[in-house]
Amino acid sequence: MPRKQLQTLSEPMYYILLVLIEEQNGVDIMKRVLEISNERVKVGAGTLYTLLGKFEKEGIINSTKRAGRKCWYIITAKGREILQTEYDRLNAMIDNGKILKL
Amino acid sequence: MKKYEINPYPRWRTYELEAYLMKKAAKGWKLTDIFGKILIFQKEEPSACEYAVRLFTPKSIRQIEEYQELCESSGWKPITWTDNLQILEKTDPSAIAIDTDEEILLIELKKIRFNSVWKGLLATFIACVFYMVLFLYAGGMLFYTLDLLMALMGIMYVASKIADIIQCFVLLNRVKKEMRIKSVNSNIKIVWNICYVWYRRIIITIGGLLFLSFFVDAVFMGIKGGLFYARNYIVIFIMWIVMLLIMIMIAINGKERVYHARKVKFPLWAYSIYQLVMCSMILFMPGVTENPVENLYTPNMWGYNSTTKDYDSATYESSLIGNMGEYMYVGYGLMDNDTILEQSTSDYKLQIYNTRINILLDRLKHNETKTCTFTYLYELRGVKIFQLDGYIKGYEKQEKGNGYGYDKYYYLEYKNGFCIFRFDKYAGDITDKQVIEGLVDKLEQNAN
Repeated sequence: MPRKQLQTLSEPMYYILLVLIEEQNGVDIMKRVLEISNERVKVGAGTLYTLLGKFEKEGIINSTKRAGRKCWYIITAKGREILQTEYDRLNAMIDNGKILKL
Repeated sequence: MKKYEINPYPRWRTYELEAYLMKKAAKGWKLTDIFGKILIFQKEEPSACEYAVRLFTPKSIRQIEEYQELCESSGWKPITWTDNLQILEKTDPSAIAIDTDEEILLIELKKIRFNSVWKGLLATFIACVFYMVLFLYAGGMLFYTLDLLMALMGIMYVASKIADIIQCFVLLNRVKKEMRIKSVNSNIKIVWNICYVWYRRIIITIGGLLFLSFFVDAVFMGIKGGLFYARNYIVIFIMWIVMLLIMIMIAINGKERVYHARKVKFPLWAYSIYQLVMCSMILFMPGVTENPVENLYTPNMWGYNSTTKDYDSATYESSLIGNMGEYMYVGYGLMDNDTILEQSTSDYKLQIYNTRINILLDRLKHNETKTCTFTYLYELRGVKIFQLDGYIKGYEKQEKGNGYGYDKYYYLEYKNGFCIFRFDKYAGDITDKQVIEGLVDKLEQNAN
């Protein structure tokens, strides 16, 4: 059963929003995601293109400026809220995991 | 050296096409372009090229530009596109895949697929509802505006498609410029793309119009003769056979899911049900003239042609009795010397009526009297007048008029033969009796 969209974030979604706390363009987003995830999470151009369109449509991010073929984005208040919720959820999962004393 | 091949895969099977292109490159044939379904390869040294085939659905020029930038920056060079299929080649060996999130990809593909299907389904549904409403409730002149409305719908449909194509033309031109794709011949490519889009649009439009025209006959209004009906029935029959063949092919090829793209599966059962529903809707949709299914299985639907007067062995030649005042009534019967008494009004309508009456006569001939009830009314100047009811299965007598439901059939028996006629009460205030009197006058004139 597929997860309901944007109810919980996938890894690429989470990292893209995280990166967009600062204003970034598409190419920088890809690099930054790779950087902050220690090259663990990779976001392809197709995926990023789709997600940016989706996020913008949902009001999670805003485009701020354009220069040539590049476009810059930043997270909105709604986006921050979603990101925070996801962060809390992940923390809760980690806390819950502690009972296993791994 | 160049090589042209037909793309062996449907649009949705992008993985297979990717693999195929890579296999060709390994054999020394590198993809340089794609025109519609034609793949163009250039002979080069065998190499391990990596391709990505994506469904390309540009929404705005800004997104296209950005996407182009993203692809190039991440080591993927767009080689070519056609219609909505885009092919990219990996230029940086360390480049990450174009699509890294399968879930997102799946959602996008489903969305694209859904968008391509729902419009057709909605259009069919609206057409059916529209038809049903008019068929059941519209009476009188309103019913006769149906042809006009449906013709208008057809024109609007075509117009909308033309608008789509113009939009597509503009967009493709822009895409072409913005994406700076080097093709063999950019002008030819644009023209080809436009033609390809046109081709698809026209096929869809003509298909839709043919189906519509069969039921409404508006498009072919004024075209008379047997060929008129033959053509429609043949078209329907062929299309029906094609649909059946498709379903058989699907059934045979059961393991292969139809319409699958990557992980998007369209289960066989769902596809079969969809096809069945579509077939049923098309074939059983009530038509203005006849239910096509009934006509398909009704013998001698092509009409009669005979000079004999013998009822049992005869086939009959249709004849139009006349058009009296506001009433249009069309007769069918055996006249002296098989003469056509009068030919006026619309031959097109005559064809419609005669098809029905042929069915009725066929049943009479085979003594299927259960479907026909004769009610003796009165005698007028030696002519016995009966009313006919329950003449065609599925067309039960309706109190509420819809132009075809309210019609009455009269059977007139006179010394030289008989006559069946019907008329529609759609205008004027003349009574049935007056019409019958007029008809008897005509018969007497003819006898004299």
